[in-house]
Amino acid sequence: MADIEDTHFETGDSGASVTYPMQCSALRKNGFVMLKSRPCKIVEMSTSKTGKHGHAKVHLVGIDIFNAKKYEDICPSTHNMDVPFVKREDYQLTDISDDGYLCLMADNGDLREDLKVPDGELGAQLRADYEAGKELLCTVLKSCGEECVIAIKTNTALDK
Amino acid sequence: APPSVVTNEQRHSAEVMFLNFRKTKTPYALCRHILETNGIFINKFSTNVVFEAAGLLKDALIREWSFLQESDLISLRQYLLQYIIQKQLQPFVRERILQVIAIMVKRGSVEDFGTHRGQILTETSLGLSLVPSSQILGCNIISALMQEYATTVKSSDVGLTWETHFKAKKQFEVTDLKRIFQFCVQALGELSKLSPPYSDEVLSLTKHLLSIAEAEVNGFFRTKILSKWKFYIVYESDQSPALRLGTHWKEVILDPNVVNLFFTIHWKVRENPQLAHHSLNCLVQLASLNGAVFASKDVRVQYLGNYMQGFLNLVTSVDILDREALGISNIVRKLILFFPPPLLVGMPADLLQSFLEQLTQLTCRFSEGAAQEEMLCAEDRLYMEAFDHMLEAWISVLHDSQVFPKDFCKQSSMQIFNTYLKCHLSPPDGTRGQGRELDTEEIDETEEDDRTKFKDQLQTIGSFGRQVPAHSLPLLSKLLEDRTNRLQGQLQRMHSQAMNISDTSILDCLFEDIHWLVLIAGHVISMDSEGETALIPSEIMHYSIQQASSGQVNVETTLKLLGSPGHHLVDIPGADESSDHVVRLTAAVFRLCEVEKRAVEVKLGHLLSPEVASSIMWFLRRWSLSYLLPVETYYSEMSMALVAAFGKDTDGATWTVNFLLSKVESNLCSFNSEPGLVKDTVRLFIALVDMREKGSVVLKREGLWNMSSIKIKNWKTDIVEVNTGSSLIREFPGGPLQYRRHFVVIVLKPLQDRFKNVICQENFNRIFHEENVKMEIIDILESFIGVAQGSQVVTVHSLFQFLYPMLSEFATLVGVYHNYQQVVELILELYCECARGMLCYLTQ
Repeated sequence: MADIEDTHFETGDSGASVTYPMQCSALRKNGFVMLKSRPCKIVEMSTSKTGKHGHAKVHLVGIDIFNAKKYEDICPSTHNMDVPFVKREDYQLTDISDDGYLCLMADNGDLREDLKVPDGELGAQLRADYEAGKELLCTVLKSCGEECVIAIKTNTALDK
Repeated sequence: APPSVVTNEQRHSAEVMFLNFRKTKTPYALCRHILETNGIFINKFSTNVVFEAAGLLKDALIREWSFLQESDLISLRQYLLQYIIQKQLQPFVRERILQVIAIMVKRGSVEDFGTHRGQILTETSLGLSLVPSSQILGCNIISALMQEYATTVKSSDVGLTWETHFKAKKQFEVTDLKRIFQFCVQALGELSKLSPPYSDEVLSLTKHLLSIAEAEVNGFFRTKILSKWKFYIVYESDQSPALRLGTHWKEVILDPNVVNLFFTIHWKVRENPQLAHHSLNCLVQLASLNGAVFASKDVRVQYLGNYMQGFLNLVTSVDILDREALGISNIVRKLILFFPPPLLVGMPADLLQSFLEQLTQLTCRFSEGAAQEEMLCAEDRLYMEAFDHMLEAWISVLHDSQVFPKDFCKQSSMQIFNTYLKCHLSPPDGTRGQGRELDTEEIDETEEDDRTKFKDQLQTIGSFGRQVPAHSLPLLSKLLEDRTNRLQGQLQRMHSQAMNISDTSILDCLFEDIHWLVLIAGHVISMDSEGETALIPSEIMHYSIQQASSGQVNVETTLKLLGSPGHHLVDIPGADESSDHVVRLTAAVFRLCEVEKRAVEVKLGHLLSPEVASSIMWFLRRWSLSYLLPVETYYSEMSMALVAAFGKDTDGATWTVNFLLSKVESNLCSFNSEPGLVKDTVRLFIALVDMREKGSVVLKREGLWNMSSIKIKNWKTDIVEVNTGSSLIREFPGGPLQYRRHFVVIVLKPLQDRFKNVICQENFNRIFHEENVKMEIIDILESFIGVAQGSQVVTVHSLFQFLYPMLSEFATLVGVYHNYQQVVELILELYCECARGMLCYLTQ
């Protein structure tokens, strides 16, 4: 079994690996795993075996972290599964452009305008809170080359 | 009528009419009229009307009882009685009317103390000499009465308070129940003189009589009045409570002919499933007779002797049917329960011997039946349950075996032990079938494993094995040695050639054999010791000493055998003839471990069975609790061989500990994908370090420290982290100062250094989210949680001093990792464990 420290993983940008391998039995609930090539959060994990003297298999149920779709997979517990790198970062919302793009400021002051207002309830909430003049923090989820706003919080630090 | 004939409104209005009808006040004349007019032409509709009328009567009577004149009641009751005698009624109508009569009788008995009831019973039993049909009617009346007096959901709410109901019931029990039983016995006696083929009427009457008898012996004697507090106790929970009778039942129940009659009846009706069910139940209850009815021990012994004779006559003259097995086993169980060994020895010797022989036969028969059911995955586990009951009975016998003549139980023990073993081994040694698709069944992690599912059975079989150690120990050793050799051979073959499908089925068969051999062996040489001190069973110790004193044991050879798990038995001269049998069995399991280890080394680990590996870990754990470094002061005598092999300060013990530890290592490294196996392996490891004496030996071991650092790096399962952390730390009190320092240096300090290295990195604030950094933090956190969980009163101060400075660092980390649920949860868990396990014990 490979030692974690020995595995190469690069966290640079283009051309770099977005996943690293991990033995199936080492996965845990609420961790992350690639299912059907989608980054998923593990919501259910159970083991079974084929035959009384068989080896363990892991049954995984995961929810896509971006679109909340459900995926399942079964694999022998000795096999390696790909685990996605997942990064969550908070950005301050400074503006919403007319064509629906968010203007976000990182902790170091860098601006980015490449993310759109999210769909559905979250987006509606975001717009509403922004219109109401609240200071908003957007949590951006980044994984496997995809990024989107996954949550919003009112910036309490500024209220003090 | 169907919807095509009757419209919805018509149906609704009919419904309303019925409902209103049911509420009619003082409907007695009306009902009589209805009964009268509808009794003439009986068709579908009139039947229902009569039924409704009867129901109405019932409700009205209950409601208006106190206002009714006695003369009216008597006349109504007599009318109803005549009605059912004269008219041919549907059973459900007759039952309803009978219920009304019974209610009237019961309600009336509160005032008249059962006189009228007595009259009815007399009238009924007078019908004894008449045709079966009127006798059946008599039975119906009696059944209805009994139902009303019983405490079941069937007895209606007659407007009496619980207290009154119980009083009435008690009164019924005292006066009339015996009469009814006598009536049944008499009637059954007459019937038993008939020969087959039996007419339907005869069968029906028999069924009724048996049901009444069964109801009597089953459920009736439950009420007990503690008159001091007028407290009524009802034993509702017990399905079939014991038959406890008072002195006034003496002539009825102690007459040997009564028991004999029931055996005869059963013998005659056993082919008829319905009847046999009742007759067998009666016999079961009669086996549990107890109470004041037995004036002295002699009377009990006499009753037992008569019953036992009847029982033996039955089981030796018939081929037990599948559906009888459970009943028979219940008879045995109750007999032994209510007439325990001190009473059994009062039996004539040959009767007792025959009884024991039959018990053995039955147990073996049921054991085989149970194995069949298991193999076929049968829905009903009749034999399995019956087998369990027999074992229950045997536990009492074995427990009190000292009251029996010496070696009384030996032959039986051997037979039962052998049968069980045979049922679980594959041919040709055994009879285990291939029915179940062992190799394709999907087994969920929540399914019970064998050692849990069959724990009670295995425990008792272990007891049997200990009755005949000269037989069971060598037998188990030889079988295990043989299977291990075969396994090794098979693996070697697969190593050098390509594998094909048939090979795995051979392997599976071997694995299943080994699995059961290990489980049975584990239960023979050791006992469950939850919450108690684990001791070497006295029978085993005694046997080992005896073996040595008869000159059969060469200690040197024994030690050689133990220390050569890589060798076959034949390679060690004299091992077969002169090694201690207990050590030999242990060595057999060690040899099995060695085969597993070697298989892993040549990359054949995927062919091994995690189930077998788990069973082995289970065996070694309970074995080590009793045998490894035994405390000699606990025993009145010690076996030299066992002391030489596993005793304190011996090379044998050191070698064994090292051997077991390396096996633990091997499992944890190569099977860390098998959660169940990892758990069992860690449990063994904890058993090894947990005890003071063992712990110091363990600590001396070089490899241990390497192992602990490997562990902390490699394993991701929480339970392993926690357990290894805590078990290592528990050694603090046991080990001398140098080991403590050693521990700090080897385990705690590196943890601290790793932690510092991670968070003191210059760019930590930027790289904290990177996977490798996060993983390292998680790893360290889990180890710290283990440290907190493993702290004890003696160690808490030093451990807390170690953890404290880092705890405040972790507080900051919560903020840093606020977006990463996993890390935050672990930090919080660490705080919880510190608070729970450490804070309350700090005194400084």
